[in-house]
Amino acid sequence: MKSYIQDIERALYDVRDEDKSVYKSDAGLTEEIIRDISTRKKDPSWMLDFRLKSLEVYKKISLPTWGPDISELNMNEIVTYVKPNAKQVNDWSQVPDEIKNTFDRLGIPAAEKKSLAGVGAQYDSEVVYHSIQKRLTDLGVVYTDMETALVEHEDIVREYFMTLVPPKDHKFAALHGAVWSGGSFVYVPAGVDVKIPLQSYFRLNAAGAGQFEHTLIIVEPGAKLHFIEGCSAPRYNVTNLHAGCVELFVKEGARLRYSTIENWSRNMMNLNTKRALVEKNALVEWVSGSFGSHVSMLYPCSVLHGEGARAEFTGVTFAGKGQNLDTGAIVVHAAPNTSANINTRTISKSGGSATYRSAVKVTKNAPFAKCSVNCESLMLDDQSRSDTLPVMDIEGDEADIGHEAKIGRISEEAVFYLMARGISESEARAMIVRGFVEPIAKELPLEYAVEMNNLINLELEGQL
Amino acid sequence: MDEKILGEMPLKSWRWLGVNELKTSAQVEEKIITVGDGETQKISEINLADKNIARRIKILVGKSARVEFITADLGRGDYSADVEIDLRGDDSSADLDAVYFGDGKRKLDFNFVIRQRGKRTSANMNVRGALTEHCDKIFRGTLDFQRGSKGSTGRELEEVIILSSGTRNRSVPLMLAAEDEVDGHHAVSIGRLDEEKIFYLMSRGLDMVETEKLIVEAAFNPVVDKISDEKLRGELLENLQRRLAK
Repeated sequence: MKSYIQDIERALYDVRDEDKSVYKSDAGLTEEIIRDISTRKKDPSWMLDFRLKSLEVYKKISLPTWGPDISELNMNEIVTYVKPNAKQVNDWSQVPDEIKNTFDRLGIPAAEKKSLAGVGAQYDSEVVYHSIQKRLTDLGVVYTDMETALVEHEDIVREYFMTLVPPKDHKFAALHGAVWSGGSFVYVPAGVDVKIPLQSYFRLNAAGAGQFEHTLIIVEPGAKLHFIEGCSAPRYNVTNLHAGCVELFVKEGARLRYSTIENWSRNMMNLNTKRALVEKNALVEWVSGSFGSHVSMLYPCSVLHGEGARAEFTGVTFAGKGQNLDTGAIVVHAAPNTSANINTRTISKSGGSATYRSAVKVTKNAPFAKCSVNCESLMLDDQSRSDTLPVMDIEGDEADIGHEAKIGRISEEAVFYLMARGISESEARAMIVRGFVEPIAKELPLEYAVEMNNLINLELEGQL
Repeated sequence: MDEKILGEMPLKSWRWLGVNELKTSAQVEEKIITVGDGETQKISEINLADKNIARRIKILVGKSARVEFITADLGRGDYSADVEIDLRGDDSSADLDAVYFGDGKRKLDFNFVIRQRGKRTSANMNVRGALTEHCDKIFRGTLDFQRGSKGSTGRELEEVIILSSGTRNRSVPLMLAAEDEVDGHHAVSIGRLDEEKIFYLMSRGLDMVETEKLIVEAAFNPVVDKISDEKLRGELLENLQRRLAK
């Protein structure tokens, strides 16, 4: 006997407003389009050059030959840039009602009320709403959108922008370099402890629009930051592409926690690139929840570059009907005494396909590297797929590497045990699913843990 | 810097997944073995050759049949082994035990696949090895639970002992599942000799070479013991000892 767990109720998230954008670039990607984007964005000339070089690289690289099928993606039809009908504002009341309504339903102002430090919400390709608490500014913390950063902190952006994820990394990194637009910029000066998490909410609106936001975070020596990125997008019939890029620079002794709940609509191709460079005795913590989207290819990478650098990765992936989510993590040990922990949970149901894919590399320069990987997969029916593809590449003799993976379904014994204690079968299964993702949920900030629990509860209410 | 590091990883193509990539000058020796319904077969593949060797073995396992496949590699040349066990019959089972010792400039490339197709099949893959000097080894082990393999279980374990800093070890334990009513587990452990064991043995008066020998032998013994040919077993252990003493 098997209980049926309903797909996540999307109506809550799939709010879609009429597309009233002022400007849409022509479909397809040409030098003219890139120049046009660059002019409208008032890029400095080096950024235009960067975009054009990326376009050249983009044309040379072919699509990946591995992973989920992305052949339905026709780049010639993707409108890469959509400018929303609102100038950037600091006051919530000035945000157009239509946009506000969508954000309200996503709970952004509510989240802000809960004393989140700043909200940089991205509507289509431009940041329309932005606020930051004065005391952050007083501490010297810069939290702004990338466009503003490019003007006000040009030197910093120029020094770091796409140095960690170079355009030639892969086709979508090159595409990102050419058409990037919007995103967050955070700079935390040395020794500053940002005690409240900074939050950013991205969403897509126009049909056929790709979103290519760039997140650049620099945490100077001894500083601390928690950054939260959340994503939600309305449902559309045209294939939507998300090829964002996240670059995190964690300097000596600094700590950065980067939490994400990606909750894309079911037609989204989520081909995001995230990478962190971790210096001496610094720590990067990734908390990553992948829900929604049609196809995801997402492998946050930590380059442990300084002695004693550490990385923690905690991830949960839920693949339902029509979804192919290929997620995981990459760790590169490039210095002595570095350590990493990867802990993931994947769930697949209703014909969904979930893949855990990871790479752990220990270079010759990294004696006494330690890495421990633990991934568990739960299949809720026999129509789904769950694959585990970890790669380990170890050079030198001083490493200590452990990997463990499990695959299976809800244990009938556990269900029986709980039922014998007077719990109904559906509640017993619900408890087991919640328990399964518990190690991840407890790493999330409260609002996000609640959101994730809601997602799971919504499914479980629908149990027959 | 990063480009160099990331360039060495299989990220562009994840090409390490799936198939042997070692190009050897050796002629590939191919073999297909069928284990009929209800039969049990024990198969040993021992490599003690001085030259490069490439083998491809496919084993088809029928209903309620069982195969015990033991492979030991203590060759001198490069070694490439591609072993596929097809558990096509219901209630079939496979034990795949392997040991390898990589020294000198040997290149080792193992690709072991157990396809679980029948109902209630059972797979056990147990791989142990030691690497020293400049050995470059890649091991891929796949448990493939195909749709319909209800009630099947699979276990995969690889333990690698690394004895010297010039080695390169790549381990790729894959687990594929298109069936929910299965129980799969894989684990890999890669590391140098356990400090505590070394300390314990050396405090008993053993020197480092003897200690290494003892620990590696202890890892190899459970697999070597399964080889029925006593003479061959002796030859293997003697060979191992000689090479560890080097």
